Amino acid sequence: MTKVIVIDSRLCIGCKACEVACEREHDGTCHIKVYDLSDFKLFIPFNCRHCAKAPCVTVCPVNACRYDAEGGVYIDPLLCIGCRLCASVCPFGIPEFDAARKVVTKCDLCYYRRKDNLPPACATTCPTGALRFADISEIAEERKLKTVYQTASSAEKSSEVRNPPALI
Amino acid sequence: MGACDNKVKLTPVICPYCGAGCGLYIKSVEGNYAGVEYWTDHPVNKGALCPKPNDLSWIRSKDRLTTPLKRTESGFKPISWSEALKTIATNLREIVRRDGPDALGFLASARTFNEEVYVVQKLARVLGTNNIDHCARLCHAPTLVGMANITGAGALTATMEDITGSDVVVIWGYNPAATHPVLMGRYILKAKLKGARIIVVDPRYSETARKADLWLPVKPGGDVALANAIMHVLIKENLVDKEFVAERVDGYDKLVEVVEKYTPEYAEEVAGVPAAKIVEAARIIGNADKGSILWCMGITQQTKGTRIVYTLATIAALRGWYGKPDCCVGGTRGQNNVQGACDMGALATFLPGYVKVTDDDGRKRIADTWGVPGLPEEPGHTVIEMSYAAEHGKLKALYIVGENPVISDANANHVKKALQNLDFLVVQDILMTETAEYADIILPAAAWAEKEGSFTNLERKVQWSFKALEPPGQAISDLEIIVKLAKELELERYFPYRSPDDVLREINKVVPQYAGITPERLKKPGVGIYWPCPSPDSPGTRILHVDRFRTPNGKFQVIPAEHTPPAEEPDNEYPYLLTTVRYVGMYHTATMTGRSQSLEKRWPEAEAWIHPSVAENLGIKTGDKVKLVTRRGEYVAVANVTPLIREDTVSVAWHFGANVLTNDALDPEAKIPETKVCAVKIVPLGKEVTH
Repeated sequence: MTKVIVIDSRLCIGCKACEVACEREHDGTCHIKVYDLSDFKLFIPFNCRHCAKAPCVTVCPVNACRYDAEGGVYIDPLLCIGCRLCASVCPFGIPEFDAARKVVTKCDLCYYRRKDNLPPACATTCPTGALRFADISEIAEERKLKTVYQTASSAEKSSEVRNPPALI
Repeated sequence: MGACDNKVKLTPVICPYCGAGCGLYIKSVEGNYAGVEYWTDHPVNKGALCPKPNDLSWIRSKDRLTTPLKRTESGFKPISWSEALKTIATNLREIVRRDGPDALGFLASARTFNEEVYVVQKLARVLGTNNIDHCARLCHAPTLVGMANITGAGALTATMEDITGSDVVVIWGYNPAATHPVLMGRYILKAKLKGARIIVVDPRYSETARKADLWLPVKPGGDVALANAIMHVLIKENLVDKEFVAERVDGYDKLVEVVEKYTPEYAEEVAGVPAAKIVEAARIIGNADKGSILWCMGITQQTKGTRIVYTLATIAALRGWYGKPDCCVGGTRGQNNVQGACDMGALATFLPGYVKVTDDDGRKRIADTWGVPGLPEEPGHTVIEMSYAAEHGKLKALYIVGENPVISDANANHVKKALQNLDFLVVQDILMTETAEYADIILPAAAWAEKEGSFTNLERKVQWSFKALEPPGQAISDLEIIVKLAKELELERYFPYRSPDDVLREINKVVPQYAGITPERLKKPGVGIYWPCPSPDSPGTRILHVDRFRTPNGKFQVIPAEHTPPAEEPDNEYPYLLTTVRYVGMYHTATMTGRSQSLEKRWPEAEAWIHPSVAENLGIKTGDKVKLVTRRGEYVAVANVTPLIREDTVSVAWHFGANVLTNDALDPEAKIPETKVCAVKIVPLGKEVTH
């Protein structure tokens, strides 16, 4: 399984339920943030992408930043030395330094929830489906299906086209 | 988690906030709160929750009331339940003896269970007064009165699921993205994904407007003119469902006459929406066979709230959007049980089941069921009228269950004076509130998750919420409190209840709409039954008005409405329009949400939206403090300078006390105060920086 949090910002209403849920699951620390881009009429929620070739994992000198069995990238706080290399190489600026605990923290895709067979909190609570816990191939298949159905129905509606089009 | 997992219990409850009726689980360990878990197969929300129920840590707040309290010279002092109940009973009896039962007033709570609201209104009426009301008066009274007058039922005409099948969804004076995020996300946006056009009418370019195909930036108070202009275009362009109107609508000709002068150009002048946009909206509406119109406080909290409801409901009638699937019309209720509280008769003019207090036969039927010789027939005082009656010394005692009028009512300074003028005030609540500060006796109530009972959501769906936690200290449920008080008042023969189930069985007999909604059916998790449900084998009713409206002759009764200005308009001294708004993460007077850290830190203070052109003139920048001043009070907020609001309008979040500014001029029919429109002056205070 390679499920991640898939973001569809067109659906986000900026309610920050994801932030509050994340904070509850992670003892008061929030690993997702909703940005209000009012100039673009958009809200964009953003969190760790759990890269398949994660620079943070590669660069970590003590192997504290690592993959779990399901492909989630997490940092073991007992191993982390607080060097912040992971934060400096992350193209998305995800890892954050916790000055009090002297470790780096980040989204762990709700590691403990998944151990209990529960999906991550942010995607479960999202009222709109802007955040989904899914394999990207599922989303891709949905989009293909949507396109082919639209094509089929437009063909059906058009009086000039008697047969479904062979080419889109 | 981990080692203690086996001790963690999950209890299904219904969310304590808005009227959507989402299900969730409360996690508990031996009756103590341990978090929430998502109820992923709940029919309303499929697990989804807005931010508010994601942090319920307020339930363990040190501010929870844990013992009855009595006002003394040196502050509130803990007393025993028996002393508290005796004091209350003695005072209530004495006031009834001296000044008659109408010197008593009761405010029920739309956040308590149906069974609890029912016993509160029953206590008021058995004591001999119809002075029983609740905060529906401050939110959807015009919806209730307006829809009842023209369709025969105040409730939403269909279900949230029906919204998803609409071709157009009109959202008027309503920001569901903040007010009902799950309704927005799982229903309105679903309609949009299926191709529906979304029209939003709001003075602000709200979070909801961002998802709209068309935004009509109405000037606060311009709604009747705008709605009439839309109908004007529908009629002129022959976009009326003639067949539906001929068969099911009374008064169409008079409507045609009244809306004749409401050209889009005239409405542009009065309502501030460009004429071309009005025509565009009317054409989108006029070409949709299936549509929904949803509204909220933006239109109801006006002195013409009832008339705006008439016009919006009539737009739907001209398109035939009643009595069929995929059409849903009405006001969406903002509290988890405000629909139920109305159904239960916590209203100054209605007994349970919407029997008018002036209806002799209905009153006798209910009096007989209760075994009382008679019931008061004079309509009682409504919420705002109670505070005026208190000021004038006519109301001597007020018994408030779980409401906070000092923050929630318009012209809050007046409410404070009124409360001070009472001889005796009882406040029954879960937390210390601004209102409780004025009480003579405060009673500690269990919160919703610490007891069980039924809630009715905004689509008339009745659901059971189970007991997950033990109440703190000596707190007990509102039902237990009222039953104990009734006993102290020697009225126990009318309150023989040992459980919420007992009360619901009585409701089954008294309220015809709930006849078949029995505890046995309801107490299966995930079950929800839509009223009217006339018998235990009825599946309930998802869509109202299918063959006939619930009016005497079965037809939709058009009541044409004329535009009138708001009670207070801008002038030289108070040059801008003020309207109030809410945050998605705060709930009403913030009594609960303000004590949850994850919510409080994200929505900590009242923000005022000010248009850049106004802000520039006054030298205001985002983040500056501004003082808003009206004829009734002043209030400091933080400026957010943004082009997302009309130039002539300022908005302020009301959760933290901004109702000191608002106007308590009343709608003559629904008696709702005009919280959404008044004239305001902005005084820049600059950044509070110390060098």
